[in-house]
Amino acid sequence: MDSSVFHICGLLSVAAAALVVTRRNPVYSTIYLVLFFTLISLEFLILRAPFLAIVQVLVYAGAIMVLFLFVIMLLNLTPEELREDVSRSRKVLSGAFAALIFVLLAAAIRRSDTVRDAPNLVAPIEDPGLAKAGEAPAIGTALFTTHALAFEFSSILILVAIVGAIHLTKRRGRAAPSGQGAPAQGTGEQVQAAAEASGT
Amino acid sequence: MNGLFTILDAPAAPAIGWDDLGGILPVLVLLATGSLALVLDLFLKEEASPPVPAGKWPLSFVSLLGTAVAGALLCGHIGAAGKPWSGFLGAVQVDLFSDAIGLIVVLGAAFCLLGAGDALRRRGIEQGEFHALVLYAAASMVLFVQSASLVMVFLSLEALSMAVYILTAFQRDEKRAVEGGLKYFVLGGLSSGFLLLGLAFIYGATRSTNLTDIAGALAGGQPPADSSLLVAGLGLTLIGLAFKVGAFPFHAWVPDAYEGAMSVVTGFMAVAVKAASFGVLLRVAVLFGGAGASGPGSPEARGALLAGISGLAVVTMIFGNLAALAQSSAKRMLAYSAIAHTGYLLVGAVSAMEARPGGEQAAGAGLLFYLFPYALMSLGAFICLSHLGEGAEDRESIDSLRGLAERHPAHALALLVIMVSFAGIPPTAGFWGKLFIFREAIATGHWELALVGILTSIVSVYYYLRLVVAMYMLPQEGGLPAPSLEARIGGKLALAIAAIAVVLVGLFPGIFFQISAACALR
Repeated sequence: MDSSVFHICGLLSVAAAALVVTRRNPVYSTIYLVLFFTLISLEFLILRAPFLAIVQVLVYAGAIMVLFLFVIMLLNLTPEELREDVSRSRKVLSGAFAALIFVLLAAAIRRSDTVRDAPNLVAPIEDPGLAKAGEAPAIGTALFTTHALAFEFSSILILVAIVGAIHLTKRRGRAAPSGQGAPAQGTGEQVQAAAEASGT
Repeated sequence: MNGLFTILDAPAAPAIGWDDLGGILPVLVLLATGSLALVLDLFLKEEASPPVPAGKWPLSFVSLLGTAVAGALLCGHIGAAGKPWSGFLGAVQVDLFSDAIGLIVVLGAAFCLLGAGDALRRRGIEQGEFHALVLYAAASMVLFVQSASLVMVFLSLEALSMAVYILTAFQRDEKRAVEGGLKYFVLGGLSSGFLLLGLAFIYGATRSTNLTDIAGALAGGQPPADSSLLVAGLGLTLIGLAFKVGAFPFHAWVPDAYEGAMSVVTGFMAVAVKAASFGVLLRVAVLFGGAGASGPGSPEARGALLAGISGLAVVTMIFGNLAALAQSSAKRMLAYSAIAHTGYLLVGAVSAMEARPGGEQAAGAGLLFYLFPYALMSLGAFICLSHLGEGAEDRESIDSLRGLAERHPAHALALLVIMVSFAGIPPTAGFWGKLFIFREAIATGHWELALVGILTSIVSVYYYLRLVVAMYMLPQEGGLPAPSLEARIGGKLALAIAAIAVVLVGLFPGIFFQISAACALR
């Protein structure tokens, strides 16, 4: 029974992902993305990774999707602004490329010994360590031993992103140095003013 | 089934101590200096108008000091010829190869910071964030090459890419900079997706995220590595890394990002990002496709990697050189030439895969030797363009360099040396770099790659010398006024060091080649 649920969820998640990229309205895309994340978390649950399943819903379907919707509504784009001028041939080309990668990866997975000899999803796992591998204590232990450096270094990644986000978006609190300085100063201010006008 | 997922087989007594931190000391120094620059900026006064020539000199001073300390630590490690050291329970591996690449990265950061003070001051954006981002990027790059776990590979790549995306768009009032940064960000995000999927496939095939364990699985572990998943994973990983080094079909971001960014940042990107990415590319290529003692666990994987990298090398060399011919902007021309040099470096990666341990040459000596003069030339050229700029503009078009020899003979001479070296004309460093790379390729039986390389190098002479002709033989035509360069010490210093080092490496290639050979992958 588990196995059929797994396959149905898989097919539905592919359909949901396709809907995400084909919708015109970004709000619809986001809603389908929520559906996609929920289906994927079900897959994780069947694959005996309960921690990952919960995190997927909490972080992605919850926090990040809210953020996405927030940004989309903040930008408040009209359908005219969203109209993409991508030529038909380009769309066909990128579609063909995506299909090619899909076929290649599917072929690789189909030929794989690991996948062919994969254990039955329904059968219980004998190895006690493996049975608990998807639960929070095992993941916590790995995070603070084998992957301690990666765990700590991710804070640098986030720090870089924060520094960059603040630099790129903060309003200049002071007048530009030397009022009649470089000629490019004027155009720069115009660009900034235009950006602010369209942002609000 | 036992040991199926070694990621979770945590040892009973985890032992991460001071030794582990000491092992990655250069990285920590760079990180600490970056944070110091961020905080220091708060205490520095805004410059009065008109801009003070010295500006916020403590920022440049502190960050340069940081790179100097990190560089000295790396040099000391190379000098001591230490054994490979593995720390953080196998998450990082420090060996001479990672030290050498790290040194090139730190060199790139130091040159960028040397030229940055003036470039930022002219634009009125001399802020600690810039210095911090350069140092964080350099730290991530050093860690990227030291990574011995797929998780660390991905995380440090993301950190370094993130910092470089922001540096590209750092001049945020400039439309081109923001455009270049955005393009780089979107395409870089796509390539990270490919890389991550590839690493996941490799994990699935070898059942470990640790490179040492993966090497064991390839050398005949039980159960054996799954070659079908491995080939798929390596293909995706190669696509991801090819994006980062700017190889041909994945180069679309290079011209725009290189042109949009400030020239000092472009130099940093062309050198440091490429050196670090090539370091990891070489590690991956030798681990999964090398003809090493452990032997390729999967002949299919080796065949796929060899075909993939050789193919990329050929098309990248041809495309980069031909596209550079048509450029009228010196900066864009150098961007396409950077793509062409990626092609030559890929040839070095191919011959590294053929090197056998115990043979005459260790894997990647040619590539490592090539990277060093390439770094000096790129940094020198881009810093010169920045150095000659005025206001928010760098000197970019080839026409704007007309008559430079009369107005600034020293700068013209330095640029001449660098262009001649780029073109690979003896006895400059660039000539030896190409010679060693092509010689290795012929010695390992890839003469067709060497042939394409030599033919495209001849083509490249045309566009490099176009710049020289503009500087020395064409009269000046209006264009930008001659900038007063008295106050610009940093850029002058960087340019002089780069030009002199190019000549020195050209005169004494033997010493540098021996160091490269000693530092190559074992």
